Amino acid sequence: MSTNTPTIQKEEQGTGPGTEPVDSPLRDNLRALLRHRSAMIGGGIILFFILIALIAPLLLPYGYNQIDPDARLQAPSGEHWFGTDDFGRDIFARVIYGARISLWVGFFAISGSIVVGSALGLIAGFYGGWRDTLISRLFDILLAFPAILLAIAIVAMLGPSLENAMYAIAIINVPTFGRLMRSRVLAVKQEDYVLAARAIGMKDRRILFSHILPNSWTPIMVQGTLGFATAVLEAAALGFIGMGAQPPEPEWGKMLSDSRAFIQSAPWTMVFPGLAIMLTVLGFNLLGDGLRDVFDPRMKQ
Amino acid sequence: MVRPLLEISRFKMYFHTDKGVVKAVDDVDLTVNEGEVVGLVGESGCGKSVTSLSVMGLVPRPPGRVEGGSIRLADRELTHLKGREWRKIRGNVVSMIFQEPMTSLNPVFTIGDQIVEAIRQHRKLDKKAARRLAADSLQEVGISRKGILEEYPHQLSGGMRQRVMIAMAMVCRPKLLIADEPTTALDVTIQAQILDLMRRLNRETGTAILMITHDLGVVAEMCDRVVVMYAGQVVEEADVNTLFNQPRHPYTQGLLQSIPRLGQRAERLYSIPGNVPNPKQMPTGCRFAPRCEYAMNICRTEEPGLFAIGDGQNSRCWLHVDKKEEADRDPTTTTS
Repeated sequence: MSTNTPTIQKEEQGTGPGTEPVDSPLRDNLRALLRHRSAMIGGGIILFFILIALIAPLLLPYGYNQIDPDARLQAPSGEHWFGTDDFGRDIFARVIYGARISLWVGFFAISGSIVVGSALGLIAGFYGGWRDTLISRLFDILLAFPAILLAIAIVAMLGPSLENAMYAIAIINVPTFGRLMRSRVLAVKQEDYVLAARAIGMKDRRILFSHILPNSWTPIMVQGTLGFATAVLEAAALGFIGMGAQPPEPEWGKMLSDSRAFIQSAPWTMVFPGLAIMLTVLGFNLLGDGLRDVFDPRMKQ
Repeated sequence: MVRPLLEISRFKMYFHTDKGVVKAVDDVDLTVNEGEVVGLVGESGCGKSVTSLSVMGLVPRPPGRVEGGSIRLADRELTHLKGREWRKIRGNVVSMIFQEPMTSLNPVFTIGDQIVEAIRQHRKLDKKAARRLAADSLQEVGISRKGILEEYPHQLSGGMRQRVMIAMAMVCRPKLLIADEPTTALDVTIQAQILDLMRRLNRETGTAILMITHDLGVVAEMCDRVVVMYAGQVVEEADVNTLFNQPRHPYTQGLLQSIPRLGQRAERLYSIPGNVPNPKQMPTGCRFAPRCEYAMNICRTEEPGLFAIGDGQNSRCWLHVDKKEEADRDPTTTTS
């Protein structure tokens, strides 16, 4: 940051009457985001999936679990847009209901990780000392395992179900957000305005919530969006190995694994859930990258 | 009659690091009377910022530790205060403004919110009244434009932000304002405005100012009295005219000689030879001796006390010891 920006010209500009309406930095960033093309594409994809997940029941002539033994493994047609699977269930309906599951799992898992991780990171970064040691070592332990292995171990302990897969995904993502928040807090803590807040007699807790947190959450938001994609993938992976969604829930990963036997005879059983996973992940990654571009101060100007 | 507001006596703040003890502030005596503007001058790292942060209770501990001495502010001992008691004093009895106005305001809140926040730390006012007071306080520092309360720091220039910082620091009418190089980061023209503003607030509100700076021009313009620090100690203290006309400590003389003058084209600019001593290995004897052109044998073996040399002028130098008896406050460091 340049320190010699104050100029007389600026002063005059600022003091002029009828200055334009004032925007918060947040609003500014939002506007920049709306101009960011790939972020908007990503946002569009996500919005599309959210929309179809919301109106799924209105959209579909078939239930996701409507079995039709006469229509097994049919190729895509006017009647079954994405074809049918080995139980004669409509894959289009299952993919759309699958969007509900994936978004729901992703949302709650990542929200859980963000809340717990940020809280721990805040405490570790702000107070330091033994709290920091304790929390940081906890993160280290969690990170010492490959994420998916840890998730499998947790699900194995809790019993396989979609809900437990969600908890597992939440737990394995906690250290990512925790460490991010901790490093951010350590940086913000050194800012002059925190010292200035102390100098007017502000309480620690107040400083934490009114100065540190509002200045630390943007990278969390970026990471959260990117993490959403990871969570969708992890849920699919757990579903694929049977540790997540249980039949007959139309979870994308589970659908992929169920279609293994028909890859050659009925490839549509695999292609559509696979595409759905890919598009969702792509959408969140694009939006996440866009957010990072917008919020990264180095990208400004 | 003058009453002392801030009395720092024999204060020591050491930093305990892995690599040894840094005596950042070592045996400092400093008094600021009510309504007075005192300059605290010295090179970077001489302990002037640590001294001021100690008065605010803002030195991080650890590694900082008070090793002795006392700080009294408005007849209250500060060195033993706990968190709650400190918060009642900060912003209320003593306030501080910082060097870098560009980063001293929180970028995500409006100016109004931040001043209201400062007010409500110490005054039980409802939102509306606090907001009115915030607007008044900005008026006081010369910002009267409409809508300023709703603006964000990034919309203001450095000079404006420093005004906002001053408004925030002054809004609860502290008895003492500590200004840590408040104009260093500003343009020269803006510097003068800010100094004028501080001078005016000092006269109008009676708030005493401790002005920390390395700019002797600022001192000449602003201060009633000057304290010069070197390597964690006070080396000279005098009223502003005396200091500029008859500097007694060789370090002060060197400082004054190093000011480049307009219209004088010197072959070489003067600078004090040598470097500031490493705070982990202070020289024995006088800390300035290795750089001093008058250094005598005694200077290298025994540490001089702060000697009173008349007219309220004190100097930590063996050159003055035969002229006046040693200041009585420092019997331990000298044996003669």
